[in-house]
Amino acid sequence: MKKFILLCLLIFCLTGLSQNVEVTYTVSVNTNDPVLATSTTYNLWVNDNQSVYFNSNDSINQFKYKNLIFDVKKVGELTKVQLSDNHFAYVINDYFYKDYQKDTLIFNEIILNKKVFVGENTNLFNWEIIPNSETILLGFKCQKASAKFRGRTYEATFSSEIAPFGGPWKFDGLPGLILSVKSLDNYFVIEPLKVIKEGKIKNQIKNIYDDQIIISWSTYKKTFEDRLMLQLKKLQSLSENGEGGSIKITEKIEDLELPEMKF
Amino acid sequence: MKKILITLLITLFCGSLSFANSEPTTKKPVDKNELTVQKPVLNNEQLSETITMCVIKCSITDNGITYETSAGNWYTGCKKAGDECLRKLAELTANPEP
Repeated sequence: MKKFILLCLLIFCLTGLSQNVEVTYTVSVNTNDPVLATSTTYNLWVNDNQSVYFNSNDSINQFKYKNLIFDVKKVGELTKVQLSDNHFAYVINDYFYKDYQKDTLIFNEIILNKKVFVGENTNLFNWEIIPNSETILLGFKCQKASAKFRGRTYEATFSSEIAPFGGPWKFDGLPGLILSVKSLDNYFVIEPLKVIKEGKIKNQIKNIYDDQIIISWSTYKKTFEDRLMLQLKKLQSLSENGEGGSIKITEKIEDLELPEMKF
Repeated sequence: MKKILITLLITLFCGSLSFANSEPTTKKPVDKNELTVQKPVLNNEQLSETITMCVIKCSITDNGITYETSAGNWYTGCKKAGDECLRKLAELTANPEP
């Protein structure tokens, strides 16, 4: 009988300690060209050793100026929209998978019109916790931290009252769950809408990239550069003598450190 | 009297003959070597209006990448240069995979 009670207590404790947190966020990308700006809802599901972060709205409604869209077409598995005579964009379909035991983060990216799958470590940020920055967010005691990452400086708000780790997008590595993040230039803004501490997501966190070829961040950057170089050569072949051309990444959350290419 | 009349008649006859055989001399014959064309002297402003010159720049932003190019030259009209510029970018971004 004693053994049975101990076993019950152990199961109760393990169940009680395991976390199944659900957070809903509003994510805005305030692009340099306002016509391309997006705002959509994302979900973060975190359990003891994994998390997924994905957008729940994968339609053209994610564009702030969706009323301007006058053409929508399928390009392979992607959906391309035209927002003006010379502005095109793909509908975002993000899925970030993190495995904290294996220290891996896997997500999809688009190079020109093809999806690729990229793998990185979960801990990418050198955070500095801001002293005396205690605050309350959605009823949780929070602290603030800042970090520079691939061309932007971010300020994050996190709470150890929700979970001991976890965060939206690539953000992670703080002693608590990251509830909000904002780049200081206001380009990328993540704000929490609601938090469910005891969610029912335990068996719904999946690595959908099991069968995919995963490339490293440096391979992704090199592949991107090579494809842009091919595009530049194609543009040159379409041009007459004396005509010029250039290619530049103008709208991207992360700086890929690829300079403008021109002829 | 008769001699006078005959002389007068002969004089009149000869006069009319010489008038009939004479060519008009008011029109000067055209010598090609003497042709001169007055060339208009144009200043720079007039020149720029006379010569058709149009180079158009255009750009497309496709999924965060901005492609910019130019088209046209000194003998191209603006409409043609603009169309050619956009055609190049449309072809470039329509099927970017090699």
